[in-house]
Amino acid sequence: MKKRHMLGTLLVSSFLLATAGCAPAAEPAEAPEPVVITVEVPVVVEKEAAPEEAGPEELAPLGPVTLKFAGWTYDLEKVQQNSDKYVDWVAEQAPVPVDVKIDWSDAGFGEFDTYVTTTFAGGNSFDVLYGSDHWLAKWAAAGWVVPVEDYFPEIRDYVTDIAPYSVEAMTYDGKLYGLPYYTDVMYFFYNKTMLEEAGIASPPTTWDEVTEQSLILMDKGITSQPFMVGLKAGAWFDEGFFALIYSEGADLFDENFEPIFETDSGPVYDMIEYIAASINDTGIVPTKVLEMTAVDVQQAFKNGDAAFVIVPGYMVREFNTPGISKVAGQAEVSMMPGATHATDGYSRMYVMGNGALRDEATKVASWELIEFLGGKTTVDGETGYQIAKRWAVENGLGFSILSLWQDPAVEKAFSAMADTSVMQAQKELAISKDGISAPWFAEWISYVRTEVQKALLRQEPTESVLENIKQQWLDLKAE
Amino acid sequence: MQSPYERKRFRQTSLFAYRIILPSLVFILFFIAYPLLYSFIVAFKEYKYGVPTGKIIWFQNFIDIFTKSTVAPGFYNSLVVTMKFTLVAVVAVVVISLAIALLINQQFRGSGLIKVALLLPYAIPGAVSAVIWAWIYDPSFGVMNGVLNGLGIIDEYITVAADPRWALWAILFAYVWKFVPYSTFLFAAGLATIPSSVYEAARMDRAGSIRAFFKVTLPLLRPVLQMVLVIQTIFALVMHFGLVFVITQGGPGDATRTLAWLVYVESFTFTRFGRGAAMAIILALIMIVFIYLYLVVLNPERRLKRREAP
Repeated sequence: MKKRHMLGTLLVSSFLLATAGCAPAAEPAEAPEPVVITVEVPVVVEKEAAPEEAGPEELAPLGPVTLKFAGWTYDLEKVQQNSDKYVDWVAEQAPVPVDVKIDWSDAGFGEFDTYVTTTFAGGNSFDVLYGSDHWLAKWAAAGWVVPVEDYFPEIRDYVTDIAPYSVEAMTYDGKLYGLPYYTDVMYFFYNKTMLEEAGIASPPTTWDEVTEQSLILMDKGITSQPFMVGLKAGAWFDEGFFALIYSEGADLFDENFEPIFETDSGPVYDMIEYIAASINDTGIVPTKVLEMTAVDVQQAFKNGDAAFVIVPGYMVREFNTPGISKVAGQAEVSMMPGATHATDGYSRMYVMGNGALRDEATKVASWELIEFLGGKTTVDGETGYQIAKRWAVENGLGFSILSLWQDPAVEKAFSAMADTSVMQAQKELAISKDGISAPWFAEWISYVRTEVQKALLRQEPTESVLENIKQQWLDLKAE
Repeated sequence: MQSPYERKRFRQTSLFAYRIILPSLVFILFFIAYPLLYSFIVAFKEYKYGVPTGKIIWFQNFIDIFTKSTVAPGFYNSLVVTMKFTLVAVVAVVVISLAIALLINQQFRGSGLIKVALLLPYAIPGAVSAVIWAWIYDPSFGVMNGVLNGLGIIDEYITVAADPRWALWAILFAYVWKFVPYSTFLFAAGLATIPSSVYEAARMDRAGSIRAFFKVTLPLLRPVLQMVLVIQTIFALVMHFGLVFVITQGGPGDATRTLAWLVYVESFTFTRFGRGAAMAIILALIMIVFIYLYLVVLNPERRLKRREAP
């Protein structure tokens, strides 16, 4: 009897252990409808009123509200400073003053999508949050983030000021969902000193040249792992992979999301085969790139381990900073090798969570936070993209605000780090990830990571991997 | 027949017992029973992208898992990886922990220190130990490479987490390090209950130490062994998740894509909570099969009773 009792207890316990926590904490609301706000404040009219004629101080501030603001962990001190500035600005200088407090929370970039997913699926929400191009479609399809232009049509005024690939990345179903936090492209950096030591006059312009030069560097004992690109299964994989295939002119889908890439030849096939050969045959790419993110690759380059790397532009600042880089002064940027020299451009953005729609004051404050951080604001009489400029000048973060390239402070900061003419030229060839506006993209790309890794390790032929990838896309689309 | 006093006393005792267990009961109901029931319901619903349609689709999630071309191959692969991991992990943990338990059961100088040191891996939180192992395995600056290189075993730093031949073993090694102490102490507690007179009798019968182990120790440890097998199987099926999450993310390719990892990916990356919950139920059913095997099929007493039955 006792034994039967024990068996029962163990069976139940094991069941609990396996299943508890695999479902969302609470039944979320039904599919979020576009929220109807019954109390409308004439926000646009007030914004357009000249401050001199109807100064913000004459308007009673809305609120108080506490904005739930979430982002990934990066330079939290600066995030705090920017938030504090916003709180002061929105209370006194904003077009519609609001009495705001900010409730900030953060998670690592790699875990941020999960953090957001569990929050919203558990029935909670954020008012403003960081977003990224490869999550936007998923979040928007779920109704967790809302199209800002439905509530604040003036956001469209920014479209002409932002690089097209970035606008595309922030758009879902034809609607603009936010403003840029930072946007960057994947660049090809090389170690000038290593090349000089090897007697190489100029950086490679094709992938065959990358191989040739890498083999020379290896032969001369300058480095044993010349070329690195982060291909660990995760968000950085996507940027590296798309940079590689775009450099050879890949085009994955047509406007109807029909796959148009070939599975036995063409740029996608060729680049997967190239990297597989570089890992398994020539050895110019170490196997460890499959467990490296772009941040790890950056570290390896700073340590002087690699001669060629593909990393986002914002990392160049650290490459050439003495004290934190062993190769300071040696890092140079070059156009991406390949047939077209195109690369991957990605966008991180500020988006509005559905929590912002709970009342008018929160909605207005949320939009003003997005605009303060990602748009053009007037603070203490000075008008401009102040926060984007600050991130660019102080942290070297890339931007898609085209006019910022003409800003002397930005120009000075970037030219001290790298050749800005090359960076600008590369930026013009940046392409947003193909198919990214499909709601199933996040699921598909996760599958792609696993499959492509198998081809890179030669566990499966590239042809069958590409067939699987294509079929997965079609199946998800059909769903 | 109970007297009125005895009945009253029994009622009072029962009420007291209920008051004592009430907080635990409330905790279990809210934090375990409710999520369990809810995940069970979700498994039978269409529930994706965080937007529940509310549509009951009965066993469709389960059918998709076993038959859908975009899901089934990954699922079957994860089953193979999970079974491989579980079988090796359970055997390794049981053998190593039993060996250590036998060792620390002997009184010798420093045995107390070993007992304390043994507790450390288990005392370190799972996420922390996963990060520690990720650093140990790091192909650029990891201690493992440093040691192997220092000993002249390798010329160049190697990668284990990105090598499909080694990735699962790397996870397994870290897992065994973490969970050996727990079983060791269970075995040590079991060994302490075996009276020394039994060993003396075995010695008088001229049994050597190996024979004594198989004829005395192991049979008397059987209840503990069964318990360790059950617990370790449950642990091995799910508790490796933190290591996979931190060290390999299921890669390279699908080399470390276990069922527990798949449940996480389906639920929180793809937000297909229905399918994720269905996979978790399958995982629970696998556990139940293992427990049944350990406690019922492999129970010699039960087999004996069956033979004796008329």
